Amino acid sequence: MILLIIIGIITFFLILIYNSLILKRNQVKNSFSSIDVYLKKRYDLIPNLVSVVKGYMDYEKSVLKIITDLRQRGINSNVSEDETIDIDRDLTKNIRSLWGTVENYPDLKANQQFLKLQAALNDIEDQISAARRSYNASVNEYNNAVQMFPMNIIAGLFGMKPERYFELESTEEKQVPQYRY
Amino acid sequence: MVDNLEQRQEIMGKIDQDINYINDEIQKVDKIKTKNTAPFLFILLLFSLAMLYSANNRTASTNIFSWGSLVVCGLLFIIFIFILREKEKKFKPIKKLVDELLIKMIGLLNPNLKFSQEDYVKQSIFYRSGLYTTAIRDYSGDNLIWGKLGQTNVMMSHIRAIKYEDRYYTQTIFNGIFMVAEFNKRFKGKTLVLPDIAGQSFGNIIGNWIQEINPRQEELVKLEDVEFEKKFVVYSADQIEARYILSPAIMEKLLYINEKFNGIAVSFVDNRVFIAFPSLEAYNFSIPYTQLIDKEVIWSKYEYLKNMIDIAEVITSELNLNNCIWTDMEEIMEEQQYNQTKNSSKEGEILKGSFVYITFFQAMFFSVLYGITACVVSVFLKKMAEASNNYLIENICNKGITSFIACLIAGLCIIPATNFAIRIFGFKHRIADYTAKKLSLYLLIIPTFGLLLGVCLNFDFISTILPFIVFAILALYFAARNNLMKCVEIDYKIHEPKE
Repeated sequence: MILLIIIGIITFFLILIYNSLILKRNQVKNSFSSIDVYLKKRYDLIPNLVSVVKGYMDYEKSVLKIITDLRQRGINSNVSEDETIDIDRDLTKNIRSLWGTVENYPDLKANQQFLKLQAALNDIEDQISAARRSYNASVNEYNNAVQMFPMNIIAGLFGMKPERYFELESTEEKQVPQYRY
Repeated sequence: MVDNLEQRQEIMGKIDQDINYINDEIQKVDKIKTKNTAPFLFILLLFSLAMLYSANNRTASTNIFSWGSLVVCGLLFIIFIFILREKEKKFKPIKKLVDELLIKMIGLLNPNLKFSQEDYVKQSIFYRSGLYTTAIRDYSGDNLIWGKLGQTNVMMSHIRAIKYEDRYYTQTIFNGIFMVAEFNKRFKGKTLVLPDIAGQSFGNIIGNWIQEINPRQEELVKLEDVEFEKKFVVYSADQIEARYILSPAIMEKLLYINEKFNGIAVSFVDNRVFIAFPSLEAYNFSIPYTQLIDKEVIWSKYEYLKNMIDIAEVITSELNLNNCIWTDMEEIMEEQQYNQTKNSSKEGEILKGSFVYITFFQAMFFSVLYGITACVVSVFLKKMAEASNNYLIENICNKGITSFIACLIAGLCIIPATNFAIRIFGFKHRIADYTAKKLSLYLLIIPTFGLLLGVCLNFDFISTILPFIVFAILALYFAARNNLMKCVEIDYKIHEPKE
């Protein structure tokens, strides 16, 4: 009888832990899909950007080509999560380098349409970074759960592995601007 | 310091002429006032003394006299209140002059800003921030500054929000500077950044647990900035949006702002940022228009306003609000305007009263009211004693205990009675409870002490009342000196606030 009760309690806790793990994993997936939404928004803007910039820029054609290629890879429906993370990182890096070169083209800087596009892209960039941080927060919660005792036993039993973080590669993003007060 | 002095001379030089002009005007009105009311008060006091005396002598002729003087006192009292109202009207043009002076001062600080001493950020806007959800019973404020700071529309004022615990105890929900500004990003939901009281007092794990069982609709957002998480707790309708608003840079800046003005609470609602600074010393700093203007006071007012604008400037520059592409502050300004027109038509939940400045002179009015009430009650008790034919009761009356009880009752009645009188005669305000408590303390305890002294020394009725008057005047003097009768601006509620 006592044995039965003990087994009952143990199964109850097993179910509880398993469900909480699943909940957290779904949370991770959910926040990943919201990153996708913003990434798609950015992909939609890229052709416009390329067409506006093309007329002005002669030397940075290579950057534009990389951006276009990355977009092509990104909108492909069967990309894995890891690949999406990589594409996003590269795209962010390249767009940033493009902004850096804009300084050399005063005509482009005066173009109203370009300025609007730049503002829109920067805004989406902020949104993506927010979504990324949100994803990282849920990954953190999930990973904590997967790696902590006793959840790690159950996670190992059902083959749940820690998820990968969205790494913030570019230096600008890592560094919080320094303010002098 | 030298810089400050130079700046002071420069600023004061610009407004010196205005101050002198206003002071001249005030002096003119002051003369009219004292000429009219001083003999009046004297007669009133004389009559009440006569009434007291006659009440103490039990003959038929003085009995009539005592009732007659009672009626005269009542009539005089009514006329007295009318004179007070008349006087308030005379101060109206001066009020306008003072307002203009203050607007000029704000203009010197920043020509794009507008200012109103009596106005404040409206309650509906305060509620909309979502920072304070408790039902507010008393909501007031002053020193509203609004306009364009750089390219950002800002609006800020001092706000005091009070709720009643029960009939006698109030709890201040918020007393400080409240600010609204446009935010440079667009968002739909509500994000709240509140001081992390649970985490700071219970530690990380238990604090976190407490945070999660929050009564709000919004969910808890855990951000990656450790320092930020220690100081604040964030709730938001949308996890991603919260992170969109609270970018690493913004978090860093909010931490800096929090360090500077301890204990801030921030909310992001409807593309606006609402910031509450409860720690900022926000006393009711209004320039009275019934007293001669002190240049020292004007300068501290200038510094007070400058301080407020400095805060707004720190916020707009730190949060980079000037980068804003969107402008929808008009909407909130419209709401403010709408409320103002609504109030003037008496349909709103709050009817804003004009200023009352309880000067020493007006305090005398309270004491007279106090004395008269005491007289009336003692006369009543005297009549009771006569009717009873009981030696003991008569004896007690004659010993002056009657007057003691009467004054005690009068002391308890004084504040409700004045409020009632003020309401009956159409002033749109009442004495704020917190001031009234202190005032009644002074008016009650000190004279009662004097009375007790008189009774203990076994004086007769008249000689017990003398120390009472002396002590009452002393009490009023101390009350005036301790600024207990300073400017009190009160909202007079017609309806209960909806909540």
